Amino acid sequence: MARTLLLFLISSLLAHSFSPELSRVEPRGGQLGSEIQLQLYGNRLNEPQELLLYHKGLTVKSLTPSKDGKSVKAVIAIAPDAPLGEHPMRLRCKDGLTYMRTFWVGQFPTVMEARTEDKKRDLNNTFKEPQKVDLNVTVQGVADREDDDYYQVQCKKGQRLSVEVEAMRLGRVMFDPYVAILNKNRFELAVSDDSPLLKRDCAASIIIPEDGPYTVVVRESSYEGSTASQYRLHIGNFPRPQAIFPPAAKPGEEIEFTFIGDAKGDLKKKIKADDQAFSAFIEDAGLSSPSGNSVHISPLNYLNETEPNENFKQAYPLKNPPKAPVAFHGILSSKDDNDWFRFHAKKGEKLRFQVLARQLRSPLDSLISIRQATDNKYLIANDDQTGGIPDSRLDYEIPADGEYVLEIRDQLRRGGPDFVYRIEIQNRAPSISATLPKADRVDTQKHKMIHVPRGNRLAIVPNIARSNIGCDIDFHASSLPEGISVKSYTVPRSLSSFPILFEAKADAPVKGGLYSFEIEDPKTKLKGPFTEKISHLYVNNQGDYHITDTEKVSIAVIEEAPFHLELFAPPVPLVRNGTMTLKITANRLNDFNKKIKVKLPWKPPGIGAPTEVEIPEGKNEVSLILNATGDAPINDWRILVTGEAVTDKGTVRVSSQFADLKTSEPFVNLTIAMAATNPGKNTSVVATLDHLEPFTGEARVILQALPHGVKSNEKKITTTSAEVTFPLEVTKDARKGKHANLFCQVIIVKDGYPIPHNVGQGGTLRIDPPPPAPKKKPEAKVTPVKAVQKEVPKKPLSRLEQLRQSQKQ
Amino acid sequence: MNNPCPGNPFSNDFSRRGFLHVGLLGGLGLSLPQFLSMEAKAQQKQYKTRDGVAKSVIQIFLPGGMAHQESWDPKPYAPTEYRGPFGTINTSIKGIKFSQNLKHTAKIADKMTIIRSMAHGEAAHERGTHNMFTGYKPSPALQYPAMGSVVAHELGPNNNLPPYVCVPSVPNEFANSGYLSSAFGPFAIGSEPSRGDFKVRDLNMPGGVDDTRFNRRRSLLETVDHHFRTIEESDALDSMDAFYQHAYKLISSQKAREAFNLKAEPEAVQNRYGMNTPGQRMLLARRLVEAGTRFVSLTAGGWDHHDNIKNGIQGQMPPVDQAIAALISDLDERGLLDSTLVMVTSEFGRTPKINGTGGRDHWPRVFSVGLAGGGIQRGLVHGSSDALGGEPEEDMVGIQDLATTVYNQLGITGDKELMAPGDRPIEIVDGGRVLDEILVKKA
Repeated sequence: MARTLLLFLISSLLAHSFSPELSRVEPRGGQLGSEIQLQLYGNRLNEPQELLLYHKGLTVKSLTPSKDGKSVKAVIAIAPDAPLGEHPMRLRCKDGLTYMRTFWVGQFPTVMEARTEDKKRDLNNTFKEPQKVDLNVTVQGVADREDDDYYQVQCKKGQRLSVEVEAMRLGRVMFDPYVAILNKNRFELAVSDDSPLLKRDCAASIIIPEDGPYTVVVRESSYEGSTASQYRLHIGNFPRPQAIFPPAAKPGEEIEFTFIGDAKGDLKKKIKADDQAFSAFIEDAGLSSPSGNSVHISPLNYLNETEPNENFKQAYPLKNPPKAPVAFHGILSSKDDNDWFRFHAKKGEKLRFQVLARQLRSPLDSLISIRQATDNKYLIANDDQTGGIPDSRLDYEIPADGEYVLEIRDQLRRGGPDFVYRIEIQNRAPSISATLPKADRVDTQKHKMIHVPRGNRLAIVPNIARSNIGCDIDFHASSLPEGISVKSYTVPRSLSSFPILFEAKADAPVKGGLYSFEIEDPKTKLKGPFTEKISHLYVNNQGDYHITDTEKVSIAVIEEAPFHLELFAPPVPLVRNGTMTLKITANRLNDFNKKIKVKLPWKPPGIGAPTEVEIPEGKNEVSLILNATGDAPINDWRILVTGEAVTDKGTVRVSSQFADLKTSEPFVNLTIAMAATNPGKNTSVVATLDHLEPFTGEARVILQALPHGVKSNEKKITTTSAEVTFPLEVTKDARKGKHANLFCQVIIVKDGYPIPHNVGQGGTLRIDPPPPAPKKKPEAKVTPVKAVQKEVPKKPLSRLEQLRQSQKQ
Repeated sequence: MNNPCPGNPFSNDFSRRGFLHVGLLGGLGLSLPQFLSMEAKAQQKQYKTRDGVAKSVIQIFLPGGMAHQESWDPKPYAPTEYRGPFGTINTSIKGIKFSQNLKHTAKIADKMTIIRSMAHGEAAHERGTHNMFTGYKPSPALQYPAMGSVVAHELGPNNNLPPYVCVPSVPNEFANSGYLSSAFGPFAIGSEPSRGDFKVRDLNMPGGVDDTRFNRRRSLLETVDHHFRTIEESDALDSMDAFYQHAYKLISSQKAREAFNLKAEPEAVQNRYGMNTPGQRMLLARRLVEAGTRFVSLTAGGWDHHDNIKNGIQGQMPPVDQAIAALISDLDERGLLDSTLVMVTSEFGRTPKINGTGGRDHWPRVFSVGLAGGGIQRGLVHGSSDALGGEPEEDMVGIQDLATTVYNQLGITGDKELMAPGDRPIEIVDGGRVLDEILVKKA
């Protein structure tokens, strides 16, 4: 019995688990041409199937899970020609894909930071007792709170000593590193904290002044590190240029690039450009810079500046200016430098002037202005327009055929050899793209993986960006894992998000991978990418600190989920200002009885719904009430719901099928006339009906939001009723005041399904304090008059009539 | 002469005659700044402190911005994305509903006034908090004192107890004494009442120190202080002295010390408030006002529910609801409610519409405040928000009105000016009116 129980426990541990979780990869990097054993740490990492790699150069030799599912041992080979830098990866297990984590490829062997045997303390925390390392190594270390890490290298006079730190880029925690090179007397020879080139990461480089020991210190810039503040410090004789010129090339073009700002001076290299933006690396004496310099790729013709072009008269080129579209490349090489360019444009051309500087990691904070070439007349200028970065962007319609000049300078009049820029002048081109949005402000990778359980469905809701075009959008998936199909509908031009439903066959193989999707304007056939922007570090209101951009989406078929969802929407319209009750049914498998949280991942415009409803434990159904605003667009929509359940094996999500939802005008509108009364005095409220669409039979009308102490009964109307009167019973303790939120619920029934309308909003009932008792007048002689007839109002008095009456009293 | 900036009291051009006049006073021993200071003081608006209806205030501050929709001002008829995830509950005020989350408070609503039309328009936490603690919008030119400090300044200590106590600690920078001397700052008890080992810091004599030794130490300290005072003049010295005096009185008064002794409460009473943070904080607040503390400020929970407000409210509200209901009922049963003003406030309300992550964001354009006791009407809802809880619909109440009313009930006139550094007379509340319509007995 005990053995059976043990076997059962082991088998349940080994059994598949939903939502595998990969939290970190150790070590954080490896050397080119080596074989390395990685530990992938996380939770529910049972039955790992494959490591999904985004770049070439790594080969997985084996994956071995631990018994507790908390780690996987991966043996990988790093090819000698693998690209240096970040290699994103995900682990695909039988029941899901993990978040993206990164591994870093470098050119040097890795050395670990020296620690005591019990791993509780560093052994390199003082300048006097540094960790001695060879040149040309990469140290993996941790900058804990108030922790300085000292590394000592022996150098020869005239050698280049460079250091570069990968820290924020590792994407684990918010960690802003600082690095300094110190001489034997502890004087700083070079320091670096942040730089436009490496953002929050840092690099420094010097020429060694004399033989001897040199110390490199790494720490968190404000001493606020933690045990998770990992870094990779490259120490060696490698080149570390700050900029590259030209900063852009045409696809496939082979040109000589100049790498600017290295300690030993400029370096040149001929490189054949990729088809897409890439990082260019420079080698010197067989050593490469650890990270590259960004090169933009564009088919646009370009001109590299020729000095002098520092004023209007020298605007380059002096003769035969190029016709737009064109690009200019230049460097604001010294303080107060400004560069001028000349170009030709035609009347009516809608041109966009876009500076690419900070986005290519140049220190330049650009400011551009356009002037008339004939008389230097100022036309237009721009400072910062490119989403959160200081690159200038300007849209301008050319007023007349002719020559124009463009001036660029630094906003703060700075300059330097690395102040490289590119200015693109071209027609505003239409573009479209789609991406999966963040599902959670903190958990930035949540729901970015598409796992479709066998025989089930899962929807995603991408966001669409359209630039210089308004168009419908179609979604295309040219390839998908075997057994998965996709269902989507043309997205109207007015929408910026839409649901796409993936469905896996019951016998689909448990497989997956990285796939590329595409979106298209069905009319112009304009295509756009489906991009993935993985935010590794995000701070609310500050934005992303490290992201990985890719055009590959992770998708996999996983083992069967323990429930299916069906959505039923009544076959009647949801009217403006009306509501509709959706019914969601869960088909539970086997003994699964956990609660299921159900959401509408996407709502048509003008439709509201609760954030979430819950199918309770053991139950199979829940209702979800939709409501439409008064101006909800009238259309035929398709909606679906997604359910999420926390099972014993992790969290699993599935979606329902698409259900049709039609929005329409209300059948009837009504206006509630203002009414007023006193406590204890019955009155009535009259509502005038406005029929927009005929209906059959009787509709129920209920006066809602009455104050305390006021009651009315439900009334019935037909499609010919002109008004409806609600007699009100008003008690003596009825709540006094102005009650201005009355409305009527009108329930029309069609084909056996209710169509609730909430109409007549803003109806007012005033309950005034009882009028003061009339003062007794001195009795006057009264001549007998005829008895006053008792007034019986045939019809409820209007507000005006009531007022008149009270005036008489 | 330099050209001073406008608004500077020294910027007036003196005529020769005026100058001679001032010079004359100088000859009599008054320097120009002293003269101007006197002049400013003479022009201060002064009001005598009256006998208040309320003798104490318990300020229950719910930091983060509690959603009015999920508490005092539910919108049961609003569309679902405005209504939120909860239903309503009938209260003991006929025809008034609270959110279902306030089931205990709903039963004692007939002892309270709910203002459903508060608004101050400050959507940042620190600015909203500043408004609610000081009755002022924040200013870069001046640090305003918290209401507790003003009360300490105006009414002084009672029964040897500190006049302004924060439970368990000073909740934010605006709960301090601002431009007033730090002698009027809050006394923070420095320990969590709900903890089993709760003990107020520095309330007892250090181990091994008896009365004689304590008094000897005290006279030694006074000698040192006296020496300092002869060579140094500083607010810090005065306020330190004031603190020491408070501390001596506290330590030497068994009755005052007993106010902090939560263990003296029967277990049933402790359970009634709830054996949790809000419960024990409010119980301590009751003991303190019972013993004579003028102003007790306490916080409970965290209410910044940007995501999943359903979970947030379900987690936070039950103990707070229980404790508020217990506190108000307990005060009433002890005959203390009429002399104790309980205010339940937060820095602002939350957005009418539920956001994409199931939460509500900051919304200062309308929110609710709960008041009880101290001459406030019983069973009243004052003002209303619109059908979606987005704007005040009737009887908007500004923060100045609320502050003026609370001060008034304590016998303090909001229009009175206190002297800020630089001889700037500053009103306790700038504007604002006493909300007569919510008062049953006006001080």
